[in-house]
Amino acid sequence: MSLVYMQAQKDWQEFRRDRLSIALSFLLPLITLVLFGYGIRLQAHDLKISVEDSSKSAPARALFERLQASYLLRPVLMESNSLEDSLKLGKSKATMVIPADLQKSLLLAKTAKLQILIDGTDIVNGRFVQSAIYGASAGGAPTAGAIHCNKHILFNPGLNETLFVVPGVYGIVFWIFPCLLSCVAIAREKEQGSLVHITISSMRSYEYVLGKGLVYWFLAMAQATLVLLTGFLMFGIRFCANPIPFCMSVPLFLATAVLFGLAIGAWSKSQTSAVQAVSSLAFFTSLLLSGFIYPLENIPGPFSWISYLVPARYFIEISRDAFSRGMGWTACLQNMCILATFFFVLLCVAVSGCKRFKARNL
Amino acid sequence: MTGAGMSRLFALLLKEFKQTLRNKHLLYLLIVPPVIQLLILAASLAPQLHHVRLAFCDLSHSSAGRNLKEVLAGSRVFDLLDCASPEELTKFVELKKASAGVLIPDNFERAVFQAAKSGRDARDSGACAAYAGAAAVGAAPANGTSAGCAVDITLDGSDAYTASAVKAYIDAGISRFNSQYVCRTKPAFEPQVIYMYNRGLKASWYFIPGLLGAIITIVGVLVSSAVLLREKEQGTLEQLLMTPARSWEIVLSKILPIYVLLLADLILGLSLSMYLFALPFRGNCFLFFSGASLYILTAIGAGLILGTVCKTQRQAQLCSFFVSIPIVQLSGSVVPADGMPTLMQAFSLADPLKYFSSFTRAVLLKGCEPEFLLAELFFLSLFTFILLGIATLRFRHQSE
Repeated sequence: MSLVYMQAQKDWQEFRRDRLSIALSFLLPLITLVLFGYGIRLQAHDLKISVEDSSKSAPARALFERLQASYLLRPVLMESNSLEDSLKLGKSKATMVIPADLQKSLLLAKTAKLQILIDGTDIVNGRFVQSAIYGASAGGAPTAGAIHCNKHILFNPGLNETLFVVPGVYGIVFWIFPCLLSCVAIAREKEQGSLVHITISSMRSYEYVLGKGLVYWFLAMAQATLVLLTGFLMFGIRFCANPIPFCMSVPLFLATAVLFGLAIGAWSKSQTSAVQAVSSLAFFTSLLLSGFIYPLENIPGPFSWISYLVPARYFIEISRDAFSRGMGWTACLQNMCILATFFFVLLCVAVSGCKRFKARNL
Repeated sequence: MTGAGMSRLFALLLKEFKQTLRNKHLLYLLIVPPVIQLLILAASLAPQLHHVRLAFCDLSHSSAGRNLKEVLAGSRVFDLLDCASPEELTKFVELKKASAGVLIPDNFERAVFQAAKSGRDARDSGACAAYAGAAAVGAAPANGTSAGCAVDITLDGSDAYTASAVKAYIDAGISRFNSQYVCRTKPAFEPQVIYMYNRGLKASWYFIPGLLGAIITIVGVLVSSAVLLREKEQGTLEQLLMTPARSWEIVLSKILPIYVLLLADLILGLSLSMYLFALPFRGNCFLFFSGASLYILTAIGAGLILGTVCKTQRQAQLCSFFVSIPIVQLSGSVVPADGMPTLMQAFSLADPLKYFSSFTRAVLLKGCEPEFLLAELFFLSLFTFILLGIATLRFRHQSE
């Protein structure tokens, strides 16, 4: 056990010397939190739609006003020849042509056809633009019909996206940065050749992994505290229920992240390859395949299995539960067990990576 | 350039290319994982809502309730789950088994009947068909039926984005139900929607152009800083600086192999996605590759600057994330940027990837001609010029 401690002390001394890395390892999570926390908003507003009004009539103006009244769209009147150019230039998301005989067809109680082109390159907003246009042309007001609905929104009645995004960012930040630091630490020793020393020292592989892991785990805990505090101060994110599952999951998740980094570092050949593996295995997967931004239900067939291998997915569930849903243990226990499994598997992978290195260099 | 200068540059290039090609591991690393990553993400990401689980509890057990259920199921967004009681419905939403719940009250059938009747009365009394929607609204409260004919919707608000989308889909379903079964009016306007450039709204067509840019950024910045720093750490950079080669020649010889590799990445990724996802290439090939070259050089320039600023590879690796994450996030390449707050939108004007991803989408999907892309091309050249200029200047400064 004392060997673990000594290894940890050695690593800490080494890391402490590199001031820029220390500064970056605290600055990076904060910047990411602010960037993602403020920047990721899927609910768009003020999407431009170019309208060509060839009828110049009162009902057309009424329709234009209803488009204006929708939060999502910002209609702009345009001449016909610049309509498609505005789509091509990406200046507007959709175009609408109001036919010249609008007034006549309304007087004859016929349905007036509106020609609408939507920019399909933006699939995320395309459907919303369409439904907003349908809403505006159907009469706009939500009560436009005899049957209406009473909506009860559970957990987040204001539909505040911050409450969804920021707990998700915790999952991303707590995964990427501990993993990056620990992976560089081990890959660097390998590249500089000082890792060979463990082959001749009396230290066992698991002691080496635990010692290194311990330092970066403490560092990660410090990062996490800072990030959670900033999240509370900047975004007003606070526990809405029993905080114990979350508080237990954070150390576990950070340890898993550190071990993931150590495992990659132990198995990779150079620093560059290790960091690249982190950027593709940790950054992109945890950003895009963890349910952080895009819902996981839509992933087709076998590809959805990949998302089950992303540990951030389980932590994000726990984190969202702690800060916005508040179901407590019932929602968290299963996820915590899965995280613990990841922890043990990655521990084995990291230790066996070191063993392999030892065996090869002996 | 004199003959001597030419052969000097050639010698340097030869050295760098040989060094890069010898490192099979790096070659593999630069080409295979990014392309696989691109393909997996393109195949699995689907931001549109399908298969939203909707708990459905019909207390009325009537034909009107079944009609509403059919209308909701017909939107092909929802997978309906039947619940026996309102309590079960709430539990489904609370435990995340469903994203929303619809509760139909027991007097639903009568309410629908009355509303339809009052709508008919209003129409008979001479309301214009064009404004029949409004007439029905006016008529319903007058008969005092408004309290009785509400459907209860329970939404899981913790995912605000999905919740508001689901809300909109349910609203649309209810208004379709109204026009089919309650008001039976012809709508005044009928929007005929065509999605331009991506008729089927294929998700992969949206993600591939964005991911290409994001991957080039991350790999380019990381690798070009590493190349410079490895020579620095191993001490061979000084040998290089002692040769008569000029600093720009050294920088150029460092850039070109990485440029060629990243271009290979791009071509491989693009051709595989054209084959696997039927991604169209509607624009001019030459135009696309000149824009792509500008962007690759921008990423390499940013990496080289990091290489001159940082002292060790670890610092550079951390810094490369420091650069790449904001570039990817602000650009709108993988996450749409339309909802970002105004301040961040302003920051994103200084993000080269923003211009590159809109450039890629415009050329590949829209088939735009160069005159539509002047702004993008201008900014991409500007970034390339500035970043490579700074990198060369810093490198020269360092070598003196």
